[in-house]
Amino acid sequence: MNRASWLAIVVGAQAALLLAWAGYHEWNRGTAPTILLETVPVDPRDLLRGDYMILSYKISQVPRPPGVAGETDPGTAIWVSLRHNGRFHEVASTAWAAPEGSGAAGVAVRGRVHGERATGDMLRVDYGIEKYFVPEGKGQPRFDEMIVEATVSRSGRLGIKRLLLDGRSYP
Amino acid sequence: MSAGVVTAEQAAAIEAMHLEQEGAAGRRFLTILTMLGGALCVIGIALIISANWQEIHRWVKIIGLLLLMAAAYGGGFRLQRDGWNFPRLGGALLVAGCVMLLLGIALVSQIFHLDGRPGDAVLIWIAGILPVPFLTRARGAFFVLLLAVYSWLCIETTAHDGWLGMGTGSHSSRSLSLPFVLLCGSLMLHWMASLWRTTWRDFAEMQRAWALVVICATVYAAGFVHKGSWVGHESLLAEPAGTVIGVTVLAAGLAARQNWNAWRMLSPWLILAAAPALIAFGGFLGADGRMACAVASWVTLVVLNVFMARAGLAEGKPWLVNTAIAFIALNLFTRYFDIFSSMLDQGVMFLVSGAVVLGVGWYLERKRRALLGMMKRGGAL
Repeated sequence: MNRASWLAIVVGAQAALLLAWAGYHEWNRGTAPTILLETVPVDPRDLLRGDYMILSYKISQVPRPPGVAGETDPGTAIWVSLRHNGRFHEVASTAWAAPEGSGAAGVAVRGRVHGERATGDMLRVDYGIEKYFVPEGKGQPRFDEMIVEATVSRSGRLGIKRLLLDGRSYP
Repeated sequence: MSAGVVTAEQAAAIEAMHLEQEGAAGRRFLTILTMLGGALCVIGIALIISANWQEIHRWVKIIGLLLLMAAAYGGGFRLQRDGWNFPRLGGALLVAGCVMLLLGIALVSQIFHLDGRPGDAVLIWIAGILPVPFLTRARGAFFVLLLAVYSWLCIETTAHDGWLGMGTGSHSSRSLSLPFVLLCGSLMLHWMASLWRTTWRDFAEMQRAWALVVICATVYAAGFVHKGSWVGHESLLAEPAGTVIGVTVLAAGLAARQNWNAWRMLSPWLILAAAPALIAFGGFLGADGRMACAVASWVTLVVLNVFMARAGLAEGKPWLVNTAIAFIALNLFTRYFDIFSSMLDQGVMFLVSGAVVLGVGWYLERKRRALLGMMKRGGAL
């Protein structure tokens, strides 16, 4: 095989990677079960990806799972079991390993311990849904209630399906 | 010809030469027009797309970017060879192709609101573009690869949950981890460049050049660690820092084994300059030791630069001489302001500074020209 053929394979692999990645999230968005999460925004800017809101969730603060005392390294994986409470899902329990079953009305989601080495009884957790990209230059919208409709993949990862401002999808 | 000054053959040759030159000028003009027109079209398309960005369906955006990426790679590859003879335009398109993969990663994460680790995204980018320079022989693509590697080092060192973070997690310790990792990483890249096969000499030379620039920049930065507000009383964790130094020493050993004569020309001075800088960044000897190492970095950088100029002269590499002179000038000016700026009142300060800038700048430029002139004449130091 000559160099042109090898380059075609490399370019094809690059394209396939992006297509497969986007396809996975598209499929997840269409088929995975969804939950509603209470949300609060903060507002910075990402140079490469335009304007976005940093979102913080009620489930972002969780109690430290039993079993490991002392410091927790940032980025450590953590499992959070959520239970249905009214319209929203809230934290039921936490664990360092994937739970066996999450109960009739609950789901288990995977996150990572955020920021500096955590020592207290409460931990801040990132679920990979802390950024919401908005149309550039439009600034922060006005609203009274912000809710994120999130998909839960089979592997327990959350993904943003819709952002609801006062019950309406944004943007 | 009628006066007998030139023969018929000579007249025909002169005429052909002029026709060829006119033709070349015409082609250059056409090339400029084509590039200008092309650039205007691209800007126009970009403006139309950006104005309607929100209305474009997400899959149209993704497929559009993939088509552009494939066109950039394909066009760049063809323009570099197959008798097209547009190596620079081809190289630029290949660079665009490499950058578009990163844009694609950013686009997908934007569309689906993904908030993963930036270091992982850059690592995927590196893995994607890694084969491109080797398949296309394009220096531009290799430069993008080097840039990507440096970006990954910076991100992973400064991120809260970075793989290369070697401090206690505080802001100061991350500020110190960054130059520490950049210095060790650049030393590794510099030494590993000697392991390249001769087929890839161009890439090895570029890797060596940029690694040397970053080494000089980080040793220069080490001269500032005595400023307490920047570093506080932080020190790096011994275990990860020791591991990184160990891998760097291993790279030095491999390079020395590969070609001892080439290694000894610059490497001892690199080690001399890097040692106090690494101790200063690491804070391994406490606050007093940090101050001493910062001052040592001022001196060892000048020593390294002198030997860089010497190596440049011996190897016939003007960039090495130019880089060395540039860092000597930067170091001298910085230390002058660092030491004397608080000693003189404002008016005298400006007067003396102007004289120093003129004097040192004139002397260094004269020295640089003399060295390059000597190089052209094939002389040695």
